[in-house]
Amino acid sequence: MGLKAYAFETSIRGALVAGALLGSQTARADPPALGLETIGRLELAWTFRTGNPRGHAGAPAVSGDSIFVLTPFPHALVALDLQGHERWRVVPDSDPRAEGLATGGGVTDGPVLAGGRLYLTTLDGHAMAVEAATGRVAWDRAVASLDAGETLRNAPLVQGGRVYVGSAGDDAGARGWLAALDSGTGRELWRRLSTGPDGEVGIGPQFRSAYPTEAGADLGVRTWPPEAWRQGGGSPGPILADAELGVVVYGTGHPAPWNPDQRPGSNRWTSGLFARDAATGAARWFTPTNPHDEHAYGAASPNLLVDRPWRGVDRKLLVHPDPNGFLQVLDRETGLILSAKPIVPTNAVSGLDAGSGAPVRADAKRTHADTMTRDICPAWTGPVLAEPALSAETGFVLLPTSRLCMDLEPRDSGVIPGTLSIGANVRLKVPAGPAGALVAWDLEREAPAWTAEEPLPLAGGVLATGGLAIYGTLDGRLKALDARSGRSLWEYRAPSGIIGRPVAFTGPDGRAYLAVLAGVGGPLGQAARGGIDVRDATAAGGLANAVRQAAYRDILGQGDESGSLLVFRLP
Amino acid sequence: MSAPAILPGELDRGAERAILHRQLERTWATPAGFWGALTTVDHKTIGLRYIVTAFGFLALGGVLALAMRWQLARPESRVLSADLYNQAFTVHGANMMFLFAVPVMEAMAVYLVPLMIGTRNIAFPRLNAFSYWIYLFGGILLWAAFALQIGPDVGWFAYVPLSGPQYSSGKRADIWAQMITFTEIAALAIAVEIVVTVFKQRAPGMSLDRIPLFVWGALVTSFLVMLAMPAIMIASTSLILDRLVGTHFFNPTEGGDVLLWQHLFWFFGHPEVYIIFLPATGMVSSMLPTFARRPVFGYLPLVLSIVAIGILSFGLWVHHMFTTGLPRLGESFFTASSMAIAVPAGVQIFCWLATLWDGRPVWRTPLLFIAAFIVTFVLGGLTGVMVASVPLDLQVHDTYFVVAHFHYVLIGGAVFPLLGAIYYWYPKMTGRMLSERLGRWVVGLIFVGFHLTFFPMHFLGLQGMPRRVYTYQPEMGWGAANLFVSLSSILLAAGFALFFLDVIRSARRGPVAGDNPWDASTLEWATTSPPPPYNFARIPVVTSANPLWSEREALPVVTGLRVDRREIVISSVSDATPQARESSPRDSIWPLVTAVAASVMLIASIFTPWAVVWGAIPVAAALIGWFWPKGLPEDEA
Amino acid sequence: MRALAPAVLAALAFAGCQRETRDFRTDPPVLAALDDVAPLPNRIGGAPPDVYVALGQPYQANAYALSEGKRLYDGMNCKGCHADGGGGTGPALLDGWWRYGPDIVSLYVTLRDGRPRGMPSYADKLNSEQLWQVAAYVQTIGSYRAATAATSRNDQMQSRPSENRGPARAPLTEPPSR
Repeated sequence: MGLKAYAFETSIRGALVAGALLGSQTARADPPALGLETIGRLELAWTFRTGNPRGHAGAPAVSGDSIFVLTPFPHALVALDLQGHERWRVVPDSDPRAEGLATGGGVTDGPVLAGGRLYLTTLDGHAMAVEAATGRVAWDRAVASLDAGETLRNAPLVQGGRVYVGSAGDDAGARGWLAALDSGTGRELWRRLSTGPDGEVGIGPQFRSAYPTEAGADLGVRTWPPEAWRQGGGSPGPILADAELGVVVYGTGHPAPWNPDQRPGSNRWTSGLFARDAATGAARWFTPTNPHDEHAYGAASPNLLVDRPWRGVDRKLLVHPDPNGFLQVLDRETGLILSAKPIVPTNAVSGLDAGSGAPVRADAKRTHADTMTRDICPAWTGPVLAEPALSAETGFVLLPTSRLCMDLEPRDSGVIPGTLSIGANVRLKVPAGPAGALVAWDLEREAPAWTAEEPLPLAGGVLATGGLAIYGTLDGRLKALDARSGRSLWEYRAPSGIIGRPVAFTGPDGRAYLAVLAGVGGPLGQAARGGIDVRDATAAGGLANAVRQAAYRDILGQGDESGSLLVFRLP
Repeated sequence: MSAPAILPGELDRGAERAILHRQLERTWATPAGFWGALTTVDHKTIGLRYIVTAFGFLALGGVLALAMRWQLARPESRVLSADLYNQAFTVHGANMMFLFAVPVMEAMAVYLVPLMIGTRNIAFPRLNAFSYWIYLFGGILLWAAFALQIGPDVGWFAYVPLSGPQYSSGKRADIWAQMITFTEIAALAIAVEIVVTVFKQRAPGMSLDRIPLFVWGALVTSFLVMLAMPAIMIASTSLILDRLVGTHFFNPTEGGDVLLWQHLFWFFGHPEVYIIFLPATGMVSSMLPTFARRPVFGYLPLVLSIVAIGILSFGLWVHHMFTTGLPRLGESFFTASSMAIAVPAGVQIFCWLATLWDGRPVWRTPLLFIAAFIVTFVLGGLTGVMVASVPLDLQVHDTYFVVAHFHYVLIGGAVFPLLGAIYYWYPKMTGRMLSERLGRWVVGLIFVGFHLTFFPMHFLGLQGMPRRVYTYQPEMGWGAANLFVSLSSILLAAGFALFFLDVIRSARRGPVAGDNPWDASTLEWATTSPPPPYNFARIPVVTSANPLWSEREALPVVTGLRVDRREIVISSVSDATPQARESSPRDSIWPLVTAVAASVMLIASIFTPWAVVWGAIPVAAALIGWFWPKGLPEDEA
Repeated sequence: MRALAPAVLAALAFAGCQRETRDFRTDPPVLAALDDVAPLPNRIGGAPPDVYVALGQPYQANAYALSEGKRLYDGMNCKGCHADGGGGTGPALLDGWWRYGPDIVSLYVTLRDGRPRGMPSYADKLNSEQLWQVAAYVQTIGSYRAATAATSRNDQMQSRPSENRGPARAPLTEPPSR
């Protein structure tokens, strides 16, 4: 780069004078990118109020001069131009029953833009494709069944002409599945479940696990009490694709119900990581991270694909911040765990068994029916709820973490359609010290490079761009840090808490933009809005208990009655 | 008071007997009429009230027992609903234990102890009056609740979690718990009085080895009460707090402990059995010499075994909890200690047998009851040794075997001696004899009825019939035995009915008794029947363990107590050498006022914890009234 | 004065019976009649069945019925959505705000028929008496007034002051945003 610049400089040495004369004009025509020097000048361009009070997770999609926002349930897909004017709006029919199944605040992810179409999933179980230019609905398929307790939360993954959709509904006792749809027509190509016989799960000759515990026929049935796998949970988390390997990778959710004594066995294939053939859905490998999950952790956290040298060898890595508190680095070709280090204070798991990859659980924090186990760290919500990011400039993985702990008392619970069979009393707790932190993880040293502590847990995704780490907080602060050191560079106070992920883009006018959704909610922000009575410590998955504690109390009642899209611009 | 032991008094200096009696009468008598009845502090009046009330509760509890037997006579019977049956067995058990057995034993002590040790009134007589009122209100609470269909339905030991806030809705368990508070306050008050009376108010010369055995029994019992009852008060208060305020004493998920209840309850509950049993053995030991016509055999072993039982009774409670999954070592220890208590109990039996063997028994009704007691209690003791062993207990726990066992020890071990004692001391209390002819019928009916009723229950228990079931299916094959038991219970009830009839009839029409109709040896027979308000015109001086037999001509007496105010002799603990004169309080309405205030507070606190705060104000006011100096002669000392 | 004492006793007896009666077996015709609610056309409020009135509204003031309601609340997964009254995916019950009104008939209809935003119907899972029991219990959760009968805490994790300790205190003027 330096060499090229030098060559350029010398070649036009003759035109130096002209260059000096034109210099200022050239600078105006080529606006600065978002970076360490420019972030301080970022200013709010406009806001758009969505009119929806629920938690706004995920990120808007951007294409050319359009921004597309999918509001929370009952959804509306809104297309805006870069001045904030509405272009069109699609309001899908909604089934209000989905509200009752919407655990964790019922947040959904934003739309995905691919090939001129927006692909989205709705909480009430539809997958849709919408023409980005006109707002015409190309297709609309009901893929998840509310009657079975299934909803859709995560954004679809669009790759190679296929739309991958994962169900949600572990707490309702729904069997989790991953489905692939044809992106052109919405036709379902295949569907693979997380529990049950090998045929339904997609375990076949391709399946090679790095761990011997995963070998055997019909583990998805035999590791459960009779018939319990039919209500077993294990819904996929965010899905990632590796086109080169031809796989999709995702973590599966926790087994249902929460009470571990109701489901003796290792409860395959819940609470682990799956790699599936992108074309057929056949399983390539499975690595359990919380077999016989006792703390409703699951493994459905957002992951990262990283290609980089590992111990001197170039490897294809999967970075998985497991809900049990350990950041696991896996080889995504085989599923072998290369490294596992705690990223938040943990006591439920003391480490990983090298032979099986299974966590070594601390006896004092195991849970049993009708027995209270106190101060389990981390809480069931896990340390990382939203998308981490790889900072290209530093090589650090930026993890938005939560350090909550919990008291858990599993209780017997049956599956009743239309209800959540959680069957556990749970109280989240704010431990002493900061409740959250942005952790810059150095994969090389397997240790944090720096940690920016936060009084509240972080529930929104991180954006890594131009040497910056940009993220929002539950009390509505949008922050930009220096990704090298964690030094705070810029902060903006939004009207509501932020659980969305900021996106940066360059507009057709060449100016740098930053957009983020504000609207507090989700498993860690739900209690800030009305509708939850925090006098009941177990309300909203136990969040009410945490909200009654000191640091959290300030966000009570601060939720705006409408979420909004904030769009910033460099001058 | 630093005066010498016995000062020349105001008047009692060899004064004319009639003048002395008139003066003492004026000083000690309770005014007649309604007001006098409310204010009296005379231990005889209060003791008699206590006894009559307790027998009233016995009759009520008996009616419940008959109702339960009616229900159980046939399989699938519909006489009582399940709910009513639950209330019936709970109220029956709680009533018999807390409102009849313990109070009646203490009441006998309240009546007899001051007479037997030769003093004029019990220590703390106003506390005594307070104790009765509290007991009465507690009993009314339980029975009024039952009448209103809010009787407790959780068993007489009210195990959590059944009695806890989750599984026992409403106020039923609270009624039980607060009734406990009432009766325990009453019992603790009496225990304190008895200990002080026995230790400090004995007639001069009545050294420790001359104390009548009933008094020994009452003394040891009082210590048991003071050591055991706080445990149940803590337990029942914790229960009320759990239920009303939402504390977590018995909630294991929040750090409480369910077994804590059982430990606290049985730490009280097992000594409770001896609180009932020890006075009964004392009665037997005191009555037996009269009818054997010789001093009791083995006075010292008898006293020692009473004390030994008292101490050992605190090491047994866990044998009620063998099925809760205790450590093996703990089970073994409590099995051993449970069997060990049979040793002092056996010593007593053999001493009584030896007394009879060596004496010339006069088979009057009280002695017949004693004989019935010995036979029945030995049978109950044998089943007691059986259930003390863990393997057998695991089999018969919560079956009718246990029901049979504890009715054998409680009725056989306590009610039979008590009925004998009523026949024995009735002349002293009323001045009239009970009918000997009816008495023999009473003994016969109760003895035969009892055994026919309860002996088959052993077999029912071994066949697996659980206690506390409101009905059973015909296929179980328990029908015939249950019908037999129910029919036999009519016989038992008839015996009790005859007893009540005799008691009521003889109060008016019985033959006049005289001072000492049995030619007994202890001090209570040295005064008139019924005794005057001041018990003894002159305090007797004791020279032997059987004073009336050794001093047949005339008892030596103490003179010098003032007669213009209530005075008693204070003596030393071991040798009973006179130490001082002490005033004894006069009648007062304040104990009743305080009891009413305390009752209002306790009952209201079933409904709101604030009752403790606001209710404490009237209680404090009443106590101030109670202790406010009234300018009476008794205030001087 | 002479008439007063028996009158007071009778009133006490009536009150006592009312809040503590336990019927373990309700007659089938009564069960059927108990389902005869007449909600208003918008399914909010309305008239309870005649037999409910005739029986003296036997569920709201009866401790045993309330505790049965609480047991069913636990067993029917109500906690999954409403937690222990604080809410979750379902609305809070503790705050005394009712989407369909605090009326017992509304609550009964809600439980029996379900409501659009995710409340399932329990008509095929509970009989009419059980529905009344749950409705009565749910009403006590969000009650603003101390009642003559209320349940107490469960032997579970402490979540909130029990019904007999903590009436709702949220200000009535400010509806929680939904």
